[in-house]
Amino acid sequence: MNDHSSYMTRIDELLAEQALWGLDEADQRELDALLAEHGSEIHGGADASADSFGLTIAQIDLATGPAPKSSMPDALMSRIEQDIVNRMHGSSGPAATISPARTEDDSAPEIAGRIGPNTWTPWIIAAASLLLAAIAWLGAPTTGPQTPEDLGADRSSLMATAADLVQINWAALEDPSVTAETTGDVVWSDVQQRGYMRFSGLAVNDPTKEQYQLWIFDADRPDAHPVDGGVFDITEDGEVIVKIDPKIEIHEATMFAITVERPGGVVVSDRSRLPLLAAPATG
Amino acid sequence: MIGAATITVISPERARSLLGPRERGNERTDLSGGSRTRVPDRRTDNEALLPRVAAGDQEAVRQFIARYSNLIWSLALRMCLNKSDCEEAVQEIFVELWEKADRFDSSLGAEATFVSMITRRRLIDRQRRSSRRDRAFGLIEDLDFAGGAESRGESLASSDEVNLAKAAMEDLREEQREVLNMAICRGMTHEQIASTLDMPLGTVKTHARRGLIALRDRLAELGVTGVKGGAA
Repeated sequence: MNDHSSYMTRIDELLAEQALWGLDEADQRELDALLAEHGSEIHGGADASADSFGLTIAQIDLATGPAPKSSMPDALMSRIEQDIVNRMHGSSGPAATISPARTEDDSAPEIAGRIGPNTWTPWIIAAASLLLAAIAWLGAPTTGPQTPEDLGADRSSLMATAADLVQINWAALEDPSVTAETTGDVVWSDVQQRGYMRFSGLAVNDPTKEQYQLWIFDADRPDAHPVDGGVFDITEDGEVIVKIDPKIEIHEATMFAITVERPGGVVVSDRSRLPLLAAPATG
Repeated sequence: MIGAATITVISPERARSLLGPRERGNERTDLSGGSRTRVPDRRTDNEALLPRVAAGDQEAVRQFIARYSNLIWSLALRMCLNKSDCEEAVQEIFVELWEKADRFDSSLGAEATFVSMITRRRLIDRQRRSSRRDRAFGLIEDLDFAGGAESRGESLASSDEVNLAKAAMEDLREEQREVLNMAICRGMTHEQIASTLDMPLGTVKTHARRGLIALRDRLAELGVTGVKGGAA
């Protein structure tokens, strides 16, 4: 066995043990050192290799694992559901979608989907009531809905403070949602992980049929897998500012694209409708 | 009207070239070298819910919890110290699954496989953080080993995948299969397995590592999982 196959075998062994039981400190150090030196030689990268063992174990467990004699307690299921729903309504998290906040009435972030009222337990309702009372007493939360004026001010603030600011005009592609009058731009800061899109003349969409979705291309990720930047609606003609809501950290934004998707958005876009693109000038 | 921001019309071809390759249906790339792999029939009675969960569909969240509660509960019972620990772990796991819902890639495995992988990782992390590796054998009295995966709900994995996984397990050497069965299906640590089998700890680890590598490679060859390791 040559040196190459020897250390690749050792990496596989350590990743296998890590997936089964986790590693002790000495083995973890050894794995870290091996990956630092040879990780780039692994097909698909070290994470994919680690996943390969995790998925294998999962597959075997699904095929041969035991079943619980009794189901998970109903109260626990309700608690978990409410926990996730609360997080969805929070200011962060992957499920919160964004809206252009055109008027006070429709300025609240839109959340796709419905709450299952059958699972609301009395104590949760009581807790929610207390929370609402506290908010009323303390005043509006700072992370609450933003007016168009707020968004405009925030955008200006970003442009004034971000040394790494990227500002790119939208380029229109052939799509029914754009016309010759459509204008706009995107501003983004990798350091602040914050950005805003402006649109004027982008067609109003019917959220029950389709929604716009932003995709952010990151230099650290393949172009086939851009980061979901959030789903949003254009509710009125005129200028609209939309806050960018990336689901994960963007290391170096290289391009922004808007697609038209089914309500709620998609995990992977087929890019069949791609009305706008913001890419730096080349050549 | 927006200040100086103007729009430039570019051709679809130019846009596509900027955007790189498109995702194409169910075709997938084998990460071991870019070759195309046959995909076994992954059809189950249920559609994948994670894409809808990632999109913020709260009804999908409810369905997701109902569908996977038994699977996650079963794993937690094997790897937690007591019911209270179990409940706390399960809640953490569902929240993590919600956070990572957009990372689910159906080309790499069924949704249930992804759920199981995330669950096991979180449980191992909890075990290591709490130094409870000297625990008793989980809460295995609460588990039904006789009924097998069928009693947990066959629809979580397709019969095609279940049969291929069982066959791959049967193909292992007996001692590898025994160690892996204890580790995966009973949630036993290597120390517990060594004690139960009266086998040196190093031998247990060797059987487990080599058995799992063989299983990984076999399932990738069969197209059950979409990833295979090895040198580039």
